[in-house]
Amino acid sequence: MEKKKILLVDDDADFTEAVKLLLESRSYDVTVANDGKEGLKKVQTEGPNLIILDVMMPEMDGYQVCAKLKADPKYRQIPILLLTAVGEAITTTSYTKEMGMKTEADDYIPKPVEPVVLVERVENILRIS
Amino acid sequence: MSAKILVVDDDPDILEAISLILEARGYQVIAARDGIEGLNKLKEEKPDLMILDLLMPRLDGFGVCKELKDPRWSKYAHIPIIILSSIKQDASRRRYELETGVQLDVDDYVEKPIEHTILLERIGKILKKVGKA
Repeated sequence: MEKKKILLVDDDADFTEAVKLLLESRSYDVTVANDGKEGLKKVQTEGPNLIILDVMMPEMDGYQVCAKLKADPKYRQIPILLLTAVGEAITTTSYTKEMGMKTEADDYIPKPVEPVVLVERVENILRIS
Repeated sequence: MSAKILVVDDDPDILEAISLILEARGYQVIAARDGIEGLNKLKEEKPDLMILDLLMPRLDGFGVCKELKDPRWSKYAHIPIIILSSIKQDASRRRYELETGVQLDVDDYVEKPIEHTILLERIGKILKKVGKA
């Protein structure tokens, strides 16, 4: 079976290294991007099965990346797991204000999150999608 | 009996990830968050192998290696050490030699970012060499 590809977009290097390490040990193929712009580029070049997306990032933040992808028929099927330091309700509200629409992320995880919890959520989403 | 591995790293995410990977392989894992805690656990737990980060608060990995050269630690001097660091191996060895005048005496050196297959392979190799695999 071909390995599932996961794109991890986050500017925290220690965090991405730990999550990448764990996902790879569970036989996922992992690509890391350090900001939103690089993330969008890698969605096009890598064609991931799932995207883990941090909200607070330099260049382009997670909201903008999420909105762009969900507005694009080519990429809107890819599940997005949004990582946020604020609660889900606050995130969806400020997103609504900022973007004039609701987020369409497929799951939210408040930060700080333990890498193992994140990996479990990833496995859940991939199981149902 | 499964081998006991002491992992010393100040980043909780990395510590957790490494622990989970090693436990999935059947190793018993002891975690420590800095060099001082690492030395204490070394005494208490007498692990078969220590994985040691270099840049840490309180006492860094260089400090741990230096401390272990002291005769007080002779009982633990046989425990193999794998350095796990984002610093390049050459740079670390040069720095240690400049500071101490002796060579950095570790059994292996794995550079971050960590590749889990490489880490497991190196661990397996060392444990086999000391008869603990």
